Amino acid sequence: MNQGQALQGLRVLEFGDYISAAYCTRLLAHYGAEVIKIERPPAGDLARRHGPFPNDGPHPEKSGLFLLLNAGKLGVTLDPETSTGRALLLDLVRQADVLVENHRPDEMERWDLTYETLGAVNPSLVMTSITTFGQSGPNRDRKAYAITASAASGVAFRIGDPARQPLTMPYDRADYWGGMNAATATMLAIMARWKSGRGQQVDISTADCLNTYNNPLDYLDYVDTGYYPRRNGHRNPAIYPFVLLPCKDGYFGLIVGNDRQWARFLEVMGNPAWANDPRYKDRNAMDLQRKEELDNLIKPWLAQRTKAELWEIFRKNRIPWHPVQTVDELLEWEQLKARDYWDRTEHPDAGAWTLPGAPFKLSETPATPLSPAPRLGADNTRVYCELLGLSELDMARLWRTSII
Amino acid sequence: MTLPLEGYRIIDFTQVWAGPQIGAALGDMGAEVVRVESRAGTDVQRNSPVEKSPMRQKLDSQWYYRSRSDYITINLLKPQGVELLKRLVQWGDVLVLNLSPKTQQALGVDYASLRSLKPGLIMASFSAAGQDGPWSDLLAFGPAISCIIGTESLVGYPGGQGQPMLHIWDPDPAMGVMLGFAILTALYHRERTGQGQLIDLAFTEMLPGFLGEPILEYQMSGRAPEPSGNQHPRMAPHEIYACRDEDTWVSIAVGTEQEWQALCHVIGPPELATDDRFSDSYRRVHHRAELDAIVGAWTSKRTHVEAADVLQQAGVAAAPAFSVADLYHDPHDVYRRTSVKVETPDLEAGDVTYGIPWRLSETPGSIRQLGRPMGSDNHRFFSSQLDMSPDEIDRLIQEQVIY
Repeated sequence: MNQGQALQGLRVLEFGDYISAAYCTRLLAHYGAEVIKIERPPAGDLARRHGPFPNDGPHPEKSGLFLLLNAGKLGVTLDPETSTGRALLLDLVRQADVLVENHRPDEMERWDLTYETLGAVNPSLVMTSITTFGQSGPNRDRKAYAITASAASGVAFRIGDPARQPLTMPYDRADYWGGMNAATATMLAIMARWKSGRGQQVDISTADCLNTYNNPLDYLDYVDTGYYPRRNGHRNPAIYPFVLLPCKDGYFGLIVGNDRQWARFLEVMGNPAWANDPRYKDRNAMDLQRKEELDNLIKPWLAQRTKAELWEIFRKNRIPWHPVQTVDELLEWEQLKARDYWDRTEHPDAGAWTLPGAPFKLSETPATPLSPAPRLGADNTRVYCELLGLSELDMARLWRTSII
Repeated sequence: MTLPLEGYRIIDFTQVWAGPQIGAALGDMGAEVVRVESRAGTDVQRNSPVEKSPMRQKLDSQWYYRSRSDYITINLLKPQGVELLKRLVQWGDVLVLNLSPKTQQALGVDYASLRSLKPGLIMASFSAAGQDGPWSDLLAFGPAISCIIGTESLVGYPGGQGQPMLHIWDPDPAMGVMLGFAILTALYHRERTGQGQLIDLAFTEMLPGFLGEPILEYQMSGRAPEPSGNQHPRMAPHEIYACRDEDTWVSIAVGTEQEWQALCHVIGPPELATDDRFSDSYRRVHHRAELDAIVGAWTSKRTHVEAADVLQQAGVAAAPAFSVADLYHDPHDVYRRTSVKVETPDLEAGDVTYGIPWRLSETPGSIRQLGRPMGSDNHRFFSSQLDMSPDEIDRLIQEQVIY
């Protein structure tokens, strides 16, 4: 008794660049929202230039990041700097439930596209604004990329070797975090609208969202004792084992185990002589100063075995340790295949590729495969003529004057 | 305006981090959230093995279990406990739980068994690897999930012989947020159609969504991506540089020619702006090491806050790599945290540095109260909400069903 998709009928405009807004609306698209992506001519979204490209051959319709983030969307172009382009945007806003954008507040003010303006045009609009520093506070107009958010949120300070520089979250992950939080908060505003009929502005600061990783209790510790967490390198110093160690063909994560699991591990290793040494036998009594000694006792055994062999041994013995899989190994992992996780996109220019699928499964309204990402301005006619009622002649004029 | 989730009843039967986190956030936003626990299996937030400061010991569970309407106990190891949970399911709109798929089936609290009890029931079941498939019994802590899904293979210094560094523990807090999106999506559908459903969330499926780019990089180029530190394929500088004081750092990223000229203007020397090695993004990425040495020499003479301020004034994306200590005093962070209102005898409002990271202009929500001990509301809840007599409640307490 499939009743369509969960977010069917929800019309979402995306007016953004690069990752955060696009990832937010991709999540909405997975579950059935209609997403109209607005790009600015002539080049369109920055993600079109980012790559990766098939066989390293650059092309604005073949950028992997763009294909990935914009599958399942309609694509239109308009120039908000022109009064006609801006009027088109306002016409779209009148017909939309949600607008997701990720421009800096001072840019949106320059275009006169603030919530004040757009909310007046459509009082039931939910306008979700994603920036690094948020819509208020002394730093709200500051420039930022994902690395800026990783740093400003306190996250980077906690990743990396204690003696070397902090590390940003890999592959601009901060932007995905902003987009994911924006999707949740947007749905909250949609639920509020259900009751009141009124829209509102949703202010998402990526740095604030990431800062929830530093939980309030970390701050309380600091206020209470002056202690604050630093980088841990490749191990957590407070507990053993909690370490990433090399094996025959890569790395393995020995991350936490109880006494029984530790005892089983020693058994699996064939109860080596050192294992009877009381210093090493009892995990709780173990002096945490000996963790490198312990690493060195374990390493030769790990070095003789591959990730696959170790994973099988640990699984059989109910020890919760897992390999550091590379992305090519993840693509082949039997669990994700068995659950039909991966999406397949077939793009007319870029070809066929495997993309991460929907982040969760709904039993009655399953996500359906997403259409390939739109070519630049691919749906101008469909959206501007069918939705806004423009004529073919209007379209030609808009195109000739570089407005779309 | 009425809060977004007013009138919805949520049964929070979760442990550790992700579930408690979203239970709190939904409560902040107006839902009636009942927290179900049992003395037969105490959550680590109540009883952590890791040593903590006295303040933290006291507040851990109070924080994660904030904004619930009631705190009750049900022991699922007793058959009557399972029956009690089934009665509770008839009371609620949404059941959130992270019992393993196998345990759910063994106890008879899987979705197939519960859905007939309550038309329109939404059940959000989250697990390491999903409700079915050959690895549905996967047991893994958050950071171990980062190993399985590939994050760890990408975190480290370039040329570091592949030694991965531990990423932050982000699977759990990310799951907390995605759970919220999933529950709200299912509620939206139920409002429209009356139909409930099972939400099957797997850590191993939620997280690869952050790694689409390296996954495509591998397919498109044939090269499996490796750790690249802070390097970016399009931008240089794009690094976190050492500053004057011990263990202080500033991130600097340049994405446009305008930003490059602004950076040159700030850090000098005058010939930098016209240096042929750095005259466009392509060349800057190519000569990254020489450029990092020049920028690093400039940052090493300044504090991280000074460096970021002067660069931002010129229009360059820079921010200190803040520690928790820095953030506690940072004027922007202080400004942004002010909306959080805590009224409780145990805490000063200023002690809690943030609560809800989302700012909804008309329905901001609030932290309604800090958490209370498990089972605090057993008598009140079971009598007023499930119409049980005081005798029945006492008997079930005695039989360690309400336990």
